Amino acid sequence: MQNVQLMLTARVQYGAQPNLAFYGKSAGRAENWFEMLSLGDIAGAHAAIGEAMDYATKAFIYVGEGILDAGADGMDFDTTGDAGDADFFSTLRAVKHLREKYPEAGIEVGMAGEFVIGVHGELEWEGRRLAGLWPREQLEVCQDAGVTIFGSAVNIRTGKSCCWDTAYALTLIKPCMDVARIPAHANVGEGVVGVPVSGYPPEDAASRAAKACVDILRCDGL
Amino acid sequence: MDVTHALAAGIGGMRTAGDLVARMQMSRGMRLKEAKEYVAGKLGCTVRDLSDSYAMEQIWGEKGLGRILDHSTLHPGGADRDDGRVPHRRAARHQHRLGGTLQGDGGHLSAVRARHSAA
Repeated sequence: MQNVQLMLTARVQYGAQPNLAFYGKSAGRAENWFEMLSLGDIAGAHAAIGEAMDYATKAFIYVGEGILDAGADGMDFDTTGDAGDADFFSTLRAVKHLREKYPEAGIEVGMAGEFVIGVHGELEWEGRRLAGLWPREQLEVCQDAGVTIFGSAVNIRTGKSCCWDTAYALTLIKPCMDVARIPAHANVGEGVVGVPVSGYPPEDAASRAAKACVDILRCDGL
Repeated sequence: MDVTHALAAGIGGMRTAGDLVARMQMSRGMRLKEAKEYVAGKLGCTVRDLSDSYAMEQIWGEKGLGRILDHSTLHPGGADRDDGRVPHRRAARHQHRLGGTLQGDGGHLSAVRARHSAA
């Protein structure tokens, strides 16, 4: 990171992808809560999720402190919430810690989808249940936690047209613009916000999605 | 895809003031309108100038900042030649066989035209 900053003028932020599932067996130490849930052991699953969340938060903080101490302009927790509300909660705890320690750092949180899946189901952040949050509520939670840039993501429906996917994404993200105190960047990558899943996304679909985000959504960036 | 997004929706990156606007968003949490107005105020230009690479080149020069030139350098000496002609790259490598020029009297093309002209 130090060498990168010496060579570049453009801002450099480090990207990391939280994935709570890696902290449960067989990849991690905590018990596999997905297996427990399928067996009906809700209490056991909640305990396993709690243990995994502690590991995950420590890991996110370790990476964040290291990269920010190395001189990064900021960092990006991308695909946050892909393992559900517990994944989202772990990231928010790490963001709050990093914000308190590095008041000037840029911390971006990019979501994994338009809806936070309630794997745990009962986790709350400052009195707001995380399960079932849509982009507007996700933004509100993130900016309360100290996030600098919020990246909303709306997964495409592969059976729908690019036009439909773009319109669907704009409909879900538009409410964010009314309440955002921080920049709201739409994640317009493969499989999100109207861009097809392809190793080489077609420029017509990608450019139309980008222009729609600028002209209709009035987002602060992509 | 990054290039597609940059061309379709970008301010212009480092050739304009895109990187500065991005820094204001990343570091200060400013929204786009606020970030553009802040940068424009600091640079002493209008918000519309922020996405104008030629205007930004002038401003960077006035302020002594690094510039990314927006001119083509594919033909060394092309734009600055006295006769205004842009030399063909292959011709430039074979000056001795072409008599030093591609077009004009004694040049390669003029000889070719003479051989095949129906006039």
